[in-house]
Amino acid sequence: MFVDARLNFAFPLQRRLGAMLSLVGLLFWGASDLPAESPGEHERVWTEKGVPMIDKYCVACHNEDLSEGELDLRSQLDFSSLLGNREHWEEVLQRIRFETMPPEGNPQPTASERSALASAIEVALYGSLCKLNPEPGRVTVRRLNRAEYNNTIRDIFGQDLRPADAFPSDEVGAGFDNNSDVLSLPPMLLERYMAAAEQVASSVILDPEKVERIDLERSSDTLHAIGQFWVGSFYKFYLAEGGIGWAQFLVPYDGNYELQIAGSSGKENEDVVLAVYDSRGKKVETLQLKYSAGDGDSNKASIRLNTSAGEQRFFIARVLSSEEAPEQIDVATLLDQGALERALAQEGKPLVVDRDFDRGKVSFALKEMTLKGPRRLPEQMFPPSQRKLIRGRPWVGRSVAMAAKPGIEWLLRRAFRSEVDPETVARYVQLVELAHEREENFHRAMQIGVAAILVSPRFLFRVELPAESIGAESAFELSDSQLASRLSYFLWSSTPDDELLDLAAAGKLRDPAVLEQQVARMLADWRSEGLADNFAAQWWGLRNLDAMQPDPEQFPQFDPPLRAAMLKETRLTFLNLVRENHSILDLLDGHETYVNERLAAHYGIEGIEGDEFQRVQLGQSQRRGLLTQASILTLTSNPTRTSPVKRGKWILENILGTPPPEPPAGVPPLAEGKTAEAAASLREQLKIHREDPTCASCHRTMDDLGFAFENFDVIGTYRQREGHFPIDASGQLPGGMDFSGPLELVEILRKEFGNQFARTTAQRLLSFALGRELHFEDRCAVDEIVRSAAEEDFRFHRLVTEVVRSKAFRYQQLEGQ
Amino acid sequence: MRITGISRRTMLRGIGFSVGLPMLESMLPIGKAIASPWSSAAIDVPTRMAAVFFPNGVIMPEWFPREVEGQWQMGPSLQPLESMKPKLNMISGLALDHGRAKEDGAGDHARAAATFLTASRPRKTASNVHVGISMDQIAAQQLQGKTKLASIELGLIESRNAGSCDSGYSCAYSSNISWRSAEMPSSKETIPRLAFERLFGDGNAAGRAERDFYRKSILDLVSADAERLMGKLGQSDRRKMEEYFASLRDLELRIERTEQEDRAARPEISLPDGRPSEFQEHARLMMDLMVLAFQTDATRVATLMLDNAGGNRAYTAIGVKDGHHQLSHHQGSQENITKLAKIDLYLAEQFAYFLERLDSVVEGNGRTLLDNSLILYGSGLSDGNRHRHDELPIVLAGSAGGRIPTGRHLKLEKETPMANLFLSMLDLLGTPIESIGDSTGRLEGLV
Repeated sequence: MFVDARLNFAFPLQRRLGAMLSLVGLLFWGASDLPAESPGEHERVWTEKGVPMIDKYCVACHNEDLSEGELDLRSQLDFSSLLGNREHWEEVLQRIRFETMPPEGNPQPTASERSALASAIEVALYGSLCKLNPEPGRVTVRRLNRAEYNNTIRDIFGQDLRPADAFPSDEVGAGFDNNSDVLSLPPMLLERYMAAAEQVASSVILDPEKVERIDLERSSDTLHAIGQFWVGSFYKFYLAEGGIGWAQFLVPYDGNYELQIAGSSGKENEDVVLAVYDSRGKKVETLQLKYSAGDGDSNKASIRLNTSAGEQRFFIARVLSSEEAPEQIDVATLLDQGALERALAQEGKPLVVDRDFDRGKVSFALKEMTLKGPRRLPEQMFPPSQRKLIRGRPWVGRSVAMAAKPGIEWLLRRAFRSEVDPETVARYVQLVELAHEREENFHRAMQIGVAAILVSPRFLFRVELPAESIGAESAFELSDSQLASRLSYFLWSSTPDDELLDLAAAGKLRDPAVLEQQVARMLADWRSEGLADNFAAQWWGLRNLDAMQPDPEQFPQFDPPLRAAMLKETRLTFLNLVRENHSILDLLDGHETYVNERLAAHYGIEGIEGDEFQRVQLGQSQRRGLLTQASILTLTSNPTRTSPVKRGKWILENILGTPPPEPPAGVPPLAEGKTAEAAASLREQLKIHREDPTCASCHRTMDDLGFAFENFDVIGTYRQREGHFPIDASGQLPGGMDFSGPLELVEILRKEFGNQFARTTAQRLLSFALGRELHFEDRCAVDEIVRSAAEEDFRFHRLVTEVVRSKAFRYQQLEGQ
Repeated sequence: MRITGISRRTMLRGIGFSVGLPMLESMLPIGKAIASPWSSAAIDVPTRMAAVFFPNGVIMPEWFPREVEGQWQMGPSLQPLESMKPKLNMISGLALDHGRAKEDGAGDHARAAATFLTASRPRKTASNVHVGISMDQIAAQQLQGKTKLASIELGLIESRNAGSCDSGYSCAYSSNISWRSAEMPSSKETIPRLAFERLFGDGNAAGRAERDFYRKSILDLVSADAERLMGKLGQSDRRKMEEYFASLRDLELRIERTEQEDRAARPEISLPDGRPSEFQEHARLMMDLMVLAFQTDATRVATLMLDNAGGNRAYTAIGVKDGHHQLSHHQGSQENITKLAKIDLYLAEQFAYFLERLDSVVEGNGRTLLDNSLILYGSGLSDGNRHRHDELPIVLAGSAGGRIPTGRHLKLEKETPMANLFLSMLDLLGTPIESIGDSTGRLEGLV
C-alpha cells in the first residue's frame, strides 16, 4: 500500500505525498499537484487510461448481473456517472491502492498498471475540484459541549464552577465531541442545563442579605480584666486604677464592625475617656462614657473599626483624654500566653460576685462588649462578576428595571456572544421585575435573570445566520461576532473574551492582519490549554486512556498517578508545541519531553525528584517523540500484551491519516489472545494470521509499523525481551524502506511522511475548528493549508492561521428550509 | 470509589427498608385504587418494561437451553437464573437483520447495539446519525404524563468520548440502545446518584416548588428566543432547535406533573457520589434504582447497558484479565472460550439479582413486581467471534401481570425478526403500534 515509486509513473511531483490514502475523501492526495488541465482533459485521461483497465480487471465480477459486493461498476464507467457516484469510486481507488482488489486468484494488474489506474481515477475525481471554487460547506448549529460549557462559564464569570461535569457525556462524531451533527439535546440534558443555570446563578451573585452577620455579646464570664477589679451585681466589672477590660471575639470575615461598649465612669458627674486597643495593642479609637450609679445600669458608646477574620481581642483602658491616649500598649506583657489561656479557660464558669468593695477605688466600670457586623462585606467575599451583574439596587428614583438593565445587558452580550438588541434585553429585564415583585429581593431576582439567560438557545447553541436574507444554499461570510466565536471555540474551547467582542463590535476582526494577530494572541494565552484538552486529547484518543486496564498482576506499577503522569507528559508536549510554535514534525522525533519523578522512574531517567514536571533531554535512549510516550503505548495495548496491530493502526490513522480499509464484512479482527500456539512469539502468531490473503494486504504494513515499538511493553516500559523471545523490532514499509526499532521508524516518518503528517494535522484541525466532518470539497481547503504552512516548515501557528484563513472557516452556507 | 460511611450492604438494605410496607400506599400508581388487605377489589397494576443489554455476544452452546428428556434446562452460563426459571421465557431464533453488514461493511458491534431495540438500519456515518425510534421510547412516548418520568436510560460506561467507535459508525450507535427519535439517542445516565435525583428529586421539596415557579417563567422566556431563531433556520438546524423545543415541553410537563403529585415520598437512601469503579456494585446499584423506580411508579420504562457495544472491560473480579471484546474473538481457543463463558455467567448473576429484587416486591394485585413486568435481557450479537446477528441470546422475564405463560423455551423459526417480539411487548404494555423496524407481525406463541 505504500505505493511510492510505482506512482511516479503518472505524477512525479507526488513522490513525497504519494504513499497512502485517506478514507475521508482521500484527502491526502495533493490535488494541487494534479495536472491543471481542463475538465475535458480529465475526461480524456479517464476514458483512455482508466476505463480500459476497469474493463480488464474489475467488471468481470462487478457488473450488472453478478454485482459482486453489491457493486456494479460497468454501469458507472462514463465520466459523468463516475462523478455522480464519487463514494463508490473513492472506495475503488482505495482498494486498488491498498492492493486488496482484485482478490487473490484473479488476474492481477502489474505495478505500473495499478498506479496508472489509481492516477486515472484520481484525475477524474479530483482534477477539476479546486478550480470550481467549491462552497465552504455548512455547519449545523452547534450546541456547547461539556468542556465548552464549563470553560464558557469560567470565562464569563471568572469562577471555575464546572457545572457541566454533571451532564451526560457528549456523543462523538468524526472523532470529536464538538461535532454539531451528533450533539443532540435530550430532555435529560435540558434538565441538567436548567439545574446548572440555577447553580451558576446562585454562585455568581452573592446576596449580601443572606450572609450571616455576627452580633456577639461579651459579658459576665466572657468578659475579662487585667489588674485589680471587682464583679458587682449583674456582673458589672469595676476596674481599679490601671485596670484593663478585654474580650475575645471570633470574627467571621474581614470587614468593618461596630464595637459597642456598655459601662460607666467611676465617678459621679465625671465622664470617663476610654481607649480601645486591638489584639496587637494598637490604639483603635477612644470613646466617652457617663456615670451610672446602679449595678444594673450602664451607658453605651460605640465605635466602628476594621478588623480581619479570626480570633480578635479588644482591650479597654482608661486614658486621660483622647489626645493623651498612648498609641500602643504592650499587650504581650500585660496578658501573656499563660494568663490568656487561664482567662479563656474560665469562660463558662460561674463568677463570684462581690458586693462589698470600696467604690472609691473604681476607675471605670465595664458591663458588656458587643461586636456587630460586618456592615459591608469585604470585596473579596463577592464573586468576581458580582459588581458587573449588580451595579446598584433599586432605590428611590431607580426602578427595578433600571437597576437590572446594566447587569443583564452585560451578561447577555457575553452569554450570547454578540451585541444584543434592546428588545431582548427588555424581555430578560422583565423577568427580573417579575421575580422582584414576588421575592422583594433584588439579588435573588437577578439570580433568576441570570439562570434564564443560561438556558436560552442563544447561549446553549451557536447559531450562525446571515445578516440579510439570502437564497437557500448560498454561502455567506460570517459576521465579525460569529467569527469571534469560531475563533474562541476553536482555540480555547470557550467564549470570546472582551478583546474579541470589542474587535467584533468595531467590525475589525475580519481584517486579515487583525485576524492573524488575534490567532497569535490566543495561542499564547493560557486558555489555549483548551486545545490540548479537547483537540489533541481527542485526536490522539487520549481520553480513552482512563478505560485502559493493564493486567494488575503483570503490571502492578500501573496506578492512577502513573496514568495521570503519562497523560500530563503528552499534554505538556502538545502545549510546548503551541507555546513555542514549533514545527509539528517535532512531535514525531522530539528530543525532549516532560517527566516528574514517577514517570522518570518509569522511563529509567535519573535525577528527577518530586511531582513537578521538568523538561528533560532524551539523549541516547530509545525514546523519541510522541509515538514512544507511555500514554500512546498504553493506549494501543491490550490488558495482557502489546498489540502491534493497534499500534500500527494508530499510526495509520493519526499520523498518516490513512485509516486502513475496513476488513471485509464478517471477518472479525485478529485475535491476539494466547492461542493454541502460545509458545510462539507474538510476531510468529501474527504472521500465521497474515497467511490469510484477505488480511495480509493491510496487516503487512499495519503490523510492521506496530512492531517497531515492540521494545515497549503494555505500559510503555522499555524491554529487551518478551518472555523468552528477544524483541525483534524490525520491519519494512512498502517501497523497500527497512527499519529496525522506533528511532529508525520515527526518522523515516519525519523524512518521508512529514507532508502527510502535516496533512493529517490540517485535516484534524479543520474538522475540529468547524465542528463537522470533512467532505469531498474540503480537500481544496486542506491542500491550501498544507501548501502554505509548508513555507514555514509546518510551524503550529502557521497551520492554525491557515485554517482560520480558509474559506471553510470564515464562511457559512445556508441550508434550504 | 469510596462510599462515605456506609457499606454496600447497608446501602442495599437501606433501599430495601425504605420501600418496605409503609411506602406501598403512597407508591401505588397515581389515580388507582389503594390496596387494602381487607378489600378484594381488583387492582389495575400497570405493566413495566426494562431492557438490559450486554455486548459482544455469548458462548452459544453454554448459554442456550438444553433439552433433557423433553424438558428444557438452563444452559450452564445461565445457571444463576435457575430459580427464576418458572418466571421467564427463553427465546431462541430471533434475528436482527439490520445488524448485518449488507453494503455497509464492518461495524457489527455498532450495529448490534443500534438495532437492539430499534430493529432498524443504522445509517453508516460518523456524524449524521439516523437509525429509528426504539421500542422502549415508543412505549415511553405513549405513557408520557402517566408517571413522573416517561422512561429512564441507564448505563455503566459513558459514551466513549474520543475517536470513532466502530469502523466509521458514530459512537452514538455503540453507546445507546434507546433512541427517542430516528436521529436522537436518549443519553444514558451512568452515575447512580444522578439517576436517583432524576427519579426522585434532590430532596428539597419546598425549594423545588419555588424553583419550579421560576422554571416555568424561564421556559416561556427562552422558548420565545428559540422561536425567533427558528424562523430563519435551515432544515438540519431546525431539527436541532426542535429537539430543544421538545425537551422544553418535556420539562414543562414534568414540572406540572410534580406539582400534582407532591406526595410521592422520596426514598431515603445513600448513594456514592461518583461512578462506582467496581462492576458488580455499579450494576446492582443501577438495578436497585430500576426496581425502586418501578415500585414507586416513578417510571414504567427503563433500559440498562451493562457495557457499550464492543466494550473491552476486563472482569478482573472473576479473574478474567483480558478485555471482553478482545476475548470475544476467541478464534476457537478453549482458554478464551472458558473465560468468555465465565463472563456470560457473571453477567447472568447480575441479571438474576435484578429479577430476584423485582420478585421480592409484592404489588397491589397480589403479584410481584417481576410478574407485572416484561424484562428483556440479551445481546445484539449471538456468536461474538463471528459477529452473528441471528440466533440471538434473549431472555424475557415476567408475565405482564399474568398475561403470558412463562417457564417456557420458545424455539422460534430461524430468522424471526426481533421486531416481532417488540410488537408483542408493546401490545402487552398497552402501547401498541403497527410496525417497527423490520417487523412482519406479532410474535407467534408468546401470548
